[in-house]
Amino acid sequence: MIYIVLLVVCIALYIVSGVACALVAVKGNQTLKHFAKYLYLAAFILHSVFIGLSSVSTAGTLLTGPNIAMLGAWVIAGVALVMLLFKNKAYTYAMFSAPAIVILILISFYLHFSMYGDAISNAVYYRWPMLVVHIVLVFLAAACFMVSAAASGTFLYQSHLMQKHSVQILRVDTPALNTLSRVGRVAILAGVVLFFVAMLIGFIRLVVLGDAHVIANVFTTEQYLLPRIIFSLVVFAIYCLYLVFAYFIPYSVSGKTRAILSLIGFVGVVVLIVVSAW
Amino acid sequence: MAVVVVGINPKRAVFHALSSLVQTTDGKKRVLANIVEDRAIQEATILYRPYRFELYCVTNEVTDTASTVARALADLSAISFSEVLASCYYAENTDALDHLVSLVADSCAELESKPFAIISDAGEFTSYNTYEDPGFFAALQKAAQGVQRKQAGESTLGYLFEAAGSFNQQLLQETQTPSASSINFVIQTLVQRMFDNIPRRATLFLGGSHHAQSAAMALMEIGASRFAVIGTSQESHNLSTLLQARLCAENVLNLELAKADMVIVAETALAPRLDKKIFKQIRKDRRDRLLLVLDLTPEGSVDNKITNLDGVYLYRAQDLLMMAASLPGAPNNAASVETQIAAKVVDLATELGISL
Repeated sequence: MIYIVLLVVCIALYIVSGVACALVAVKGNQTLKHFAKYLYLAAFILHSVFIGLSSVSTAGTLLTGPNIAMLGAWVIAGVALVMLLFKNKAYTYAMFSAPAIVILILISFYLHFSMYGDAISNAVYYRWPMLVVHIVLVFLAAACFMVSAAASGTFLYQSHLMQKHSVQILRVDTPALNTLSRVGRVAILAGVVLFFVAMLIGFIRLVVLGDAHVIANVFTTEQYLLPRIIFSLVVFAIYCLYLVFAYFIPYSVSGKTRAILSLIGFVGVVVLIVVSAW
Repeated sequence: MAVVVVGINPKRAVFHALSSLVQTTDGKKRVLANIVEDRAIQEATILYRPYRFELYCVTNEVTDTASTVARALADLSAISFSEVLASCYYAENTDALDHLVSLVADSCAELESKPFAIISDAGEFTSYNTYEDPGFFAALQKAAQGVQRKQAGESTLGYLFEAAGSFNQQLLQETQTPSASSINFVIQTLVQRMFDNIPRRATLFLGGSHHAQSAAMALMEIGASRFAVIGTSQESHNLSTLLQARLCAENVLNLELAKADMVIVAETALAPRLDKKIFKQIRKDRRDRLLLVLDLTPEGSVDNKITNLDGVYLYRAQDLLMMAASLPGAPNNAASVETQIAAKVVDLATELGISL
């Protein structure tokens, strides 16, 4: 029961702090600045406590579906919190991360109950210790993609205000368009590198599992891996396309198109985490 | 009865010598005593600020007051009468009232068109506008107290300057709450919303004007330091000197545009070249850098189609005005202040019995 109460309070805190961050960033509400920041911190602490308690109750964190989604949400929250605490005008990142975190927590919650009673253990981890590195890299990459998506979403909004000559642009408390564009680009570059290494570790494992008949194994014994492989490749392709546009031919597509591509990529990342956790 | 204003053009060489003549209370008294010797002039006073001074007179009939004032100033200085007269500007009755009230309003809130339009070509004086002049109210009070008169009774000029002082205070309360209401604040905010690391951003001025100078000062306040000016006019030259910026010829426009982060268009003649075509030519050189274009020409000379280009944001003077006027704490935009000016002129003219 205590877990459910903790989780509900945690979700509520993320939602309220997300809304407060949105009010600070979009409406320029200065009075909510500290409230939003510390509420986010409280939500993150509660989130961490929940993960800690779960880990203790199962004698270690089980690297299974619900926990993967929960840890994914925690890493994203951690990155957003660091930005919120140490960077000015980072409210947009928290504003965008909050809904993604809540979605992942709810999915974790759902998976936890749907798997209730199933025999779950860390057997995979004992067979393959690199699993931890693989998962941590994916989560870090997801956090980078989240930062990029937040920057891109804000870029689109701010750019829209400027093109419409809206007076709202004088009230928002968001980073400069220039910064948003650069953060979006650099975060994806870092995310793609991390994601590539994580994929490489995963594919090496797949090769080891299937010896010389990798493809055959994917379709037979390791069939459950197929959706995550496909989604990983799709996400990777989207972000590679973004990087080509951003670094090699920046004049070929508009900043708006790149921002949309980044947002699509992040939706793909959330789907990938959900698919992997299922 | 007629109310007349005579001023000395601050851009003329004689201004400084004559200004120093009326700077002191004693000097003012001597000049006014000399003026009221004219049989037609009943009252006279001087509204003095370091950057300009004007003599207001009440006369029995509209006479050649400019000559009287010029003669008085010439007598008390080493400057010839013809030279002083050639440097004068002049307005009478409702035009004089309009001038005074506009000047009052201009000392509180930036007005685009009013202050000098009535009595002279606005362009000749605009750089002497007195935006948010904190000493202006005191100057009005001094002028009200320093009226030289021939006869006892109610002082028309005393009343006029007291009314102007009240109007000044009323406008100050209404318009001067935040300095944020100025266009400069809007420009600074727009630049900050677009760019980080502002000292490294390059600003290109197409021509020079007092608006461009004002925008440049606003940019310097937030750290901008890399400026270039394109143009051959005297204003362009003045601006480049003021900013210690490179002054370039028009044939390097493409080259400078490729390097610029902000473009401020101050002269109509150069603006038509800023079209979609030129931006397409420099697209590769610019890569995906953002560009803020501020078109400060009154008629808006930059091709509007450039807003369809990626990363190019165009703001015209009227957009900036609109944004400044809609800021919280700036309930009076230029248009509403001008309406108040018109109403005040009518009130004063009616009270003083001057035909409209």
